[in-house]
Amino acid sequence: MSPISEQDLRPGRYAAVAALSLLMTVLATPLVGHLDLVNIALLFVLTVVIAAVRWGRGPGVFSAFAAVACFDFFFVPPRFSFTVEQAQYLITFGVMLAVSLVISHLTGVSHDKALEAEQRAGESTLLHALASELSAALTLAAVNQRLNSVLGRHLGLSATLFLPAANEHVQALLPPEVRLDAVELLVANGVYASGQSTHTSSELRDGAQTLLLPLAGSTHRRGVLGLYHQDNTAGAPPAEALGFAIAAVVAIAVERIDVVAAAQAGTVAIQSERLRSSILSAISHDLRTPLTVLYGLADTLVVRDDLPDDCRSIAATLRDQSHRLHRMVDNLLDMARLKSGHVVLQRDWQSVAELLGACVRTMTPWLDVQRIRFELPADLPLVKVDAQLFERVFSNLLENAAKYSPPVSVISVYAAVEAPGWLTLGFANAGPGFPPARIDAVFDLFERGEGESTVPGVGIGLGVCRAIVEAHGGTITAHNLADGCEVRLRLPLGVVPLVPSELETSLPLAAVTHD
Amino acid sequence: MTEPAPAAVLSVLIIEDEPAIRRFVRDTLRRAGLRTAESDGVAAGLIVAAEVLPDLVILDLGLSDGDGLRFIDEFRRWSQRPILVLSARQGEQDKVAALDAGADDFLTKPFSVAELLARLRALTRRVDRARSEDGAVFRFGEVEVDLARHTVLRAGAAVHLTALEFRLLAVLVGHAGQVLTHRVLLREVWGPGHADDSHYLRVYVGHLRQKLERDPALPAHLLTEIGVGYRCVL
Repeated sequence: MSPISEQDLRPGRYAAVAALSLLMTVLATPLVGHLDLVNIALLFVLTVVIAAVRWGRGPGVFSAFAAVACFDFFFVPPRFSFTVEQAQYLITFGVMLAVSLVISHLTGVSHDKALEAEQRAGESTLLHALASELSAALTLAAVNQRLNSVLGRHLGLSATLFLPAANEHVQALLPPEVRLDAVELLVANGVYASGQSTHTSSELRDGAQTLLLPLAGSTHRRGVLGLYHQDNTAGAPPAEALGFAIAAVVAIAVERIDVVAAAQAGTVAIQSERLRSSILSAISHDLRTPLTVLYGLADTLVVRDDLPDDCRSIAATLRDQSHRLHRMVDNLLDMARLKSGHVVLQRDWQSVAELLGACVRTMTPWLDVQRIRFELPADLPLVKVDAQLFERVFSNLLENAAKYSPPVSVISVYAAVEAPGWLTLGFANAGPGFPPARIDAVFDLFERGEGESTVPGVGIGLGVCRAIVEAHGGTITAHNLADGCEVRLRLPLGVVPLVPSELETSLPLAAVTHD
Repeated sequence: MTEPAPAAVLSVLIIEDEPAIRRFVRDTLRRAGLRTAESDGVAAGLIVAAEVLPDLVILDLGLSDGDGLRFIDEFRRWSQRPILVLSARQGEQDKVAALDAGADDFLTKPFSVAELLARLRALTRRVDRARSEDGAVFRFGEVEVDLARHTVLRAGAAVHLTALEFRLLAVLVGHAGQVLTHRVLLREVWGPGHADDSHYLRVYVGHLRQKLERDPALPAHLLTEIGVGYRCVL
């Protein structure tokens, strides 16, 4: 049994019930003497049926009592008095009241059901209208506008959308002329964080109640929906069940727009990345080709012993300068690729000693190998790095070490596992060292674009080194020593996969033990 | 200094779309006493190759009219002559693909004249050796490797190698002058199931260098081509 609803309490209905009872009294009075009193009693029962069907349970119950009262007062002898001569009429009243109450209850139930069905139909019409309106919305602003127009038309409700902004907070999506209630926003953020619906009253709307509902998306909350009656006099918040249904429809629309936006952003990112890499490869081809020609042609002159020495020496300078230019172009392009953040590291297990050796070999024409002193233990663990990028790191560091130290001084390169899980690599030279005030900034000269170094090229090379080392989860630092300076790298060590050991029985056939 | 020309007059086909690079390569080769033919693309290169039957091909990987890989494929159908690939620094994958397709060596731009001639000499020497019957004994530095008798001598003394070390050394010296990619080496020495276990190579090449190189930190014969593979220089 549902409780007496708000509608049942309207005073007009009870006046109408009273009027109906009096009307039946007037109509039945001429029949006294022609009809049995029992039949007149039945006529009053009819009024109960009419009242219950027409106005619901409350008025029905009221009319049951009114009918008994009227019947007693106007018809049961002595007439125009509530006193009763014959005790049998008490039974009539009792049965009449009982029948009337049962009828009013039953009709009331069916009345409620009918009302409920009507309301359901109304709600589903509303939700259908809302869903079809929102499905055509392409922006969040359009969702907001269509939502308000549908809710206003069907229910007299207004809606506020609260959507996530930065810092895990929601912001209201409001037209500029509408002021936002700070308390409401605070409560909305609470709803966004907890996922629990709640009510709040807004001072800006004369204390009208707002129902705040979370917008539950398929993966995470998409925001908060606030619903309130447009006429503030109602005072009560909108029904929660309907509110949740509306919130579900709105959440789908908001999620759809979010997902479309994310997909578009992805497409744009892919396109701009394609553009960037095609520009980079075009630049690199266009810059490298003439440098290759310059280098090669100069080199053909250097090796011609039929030319005068001064010509060959000029050709050698040309060749060396174009080589330097080439390295600078390489560094710039590497920096551009690394800074774009889309370099995929080709990581593989590498031997630092092997990379250093190969690197020195490629630098042989420009670097006096005799100056380099390696201190590399034979049992150094492998590191998982991009070999090509680390060749760049090592060659930049060796080139710098050679450039900034006296011509025949020693460049020492060492590697060691100094802390568990970390490989330390040092490149030390006997040069004047780094400017003490800017020792931490030597790696970001290039980034800041400041020409602080008097020797060109230093910033680019070290900047590239840092970008590569940090991309591998390592660190690079500069240190001044008593007799020179050092650049130190620390690289994280991983779990090197096992290399199966060989059985000593599988010796080569004719191998002789080495004494 | 001039480079001594290889014994026989060899013909070299240069396939390069940049005229200036083509020119200095051609001048360098002619000065070294080689015959040259030229082409600026894959299609034309295949026609010229069929005409002149070059002893050696220098192929630019970044040709404008198509992938140099296509040339390697077509050329390898009828000729086993060495192919030296020219390529930019970045593009290790391209080099590996070219080597796996049948190229023998690569040079990264910019390259010096001396380096170019040294590579050509190494490649032609391998061809000469393949022609002669005495292909079992290799010498580099103070090391002598006899593939037939399974012996390795260093300065006349026997060197103890494990079976895998010997197999790896045999593959490397057998293809001296050629770059062997990680994949090829792993397949030849460890078998087809170990194509991705390149850390085996780091360890075993390290062992070979410790046993055979005068300065293991700066090897002169068992060389690393970073990101690509290994090369044995005799």
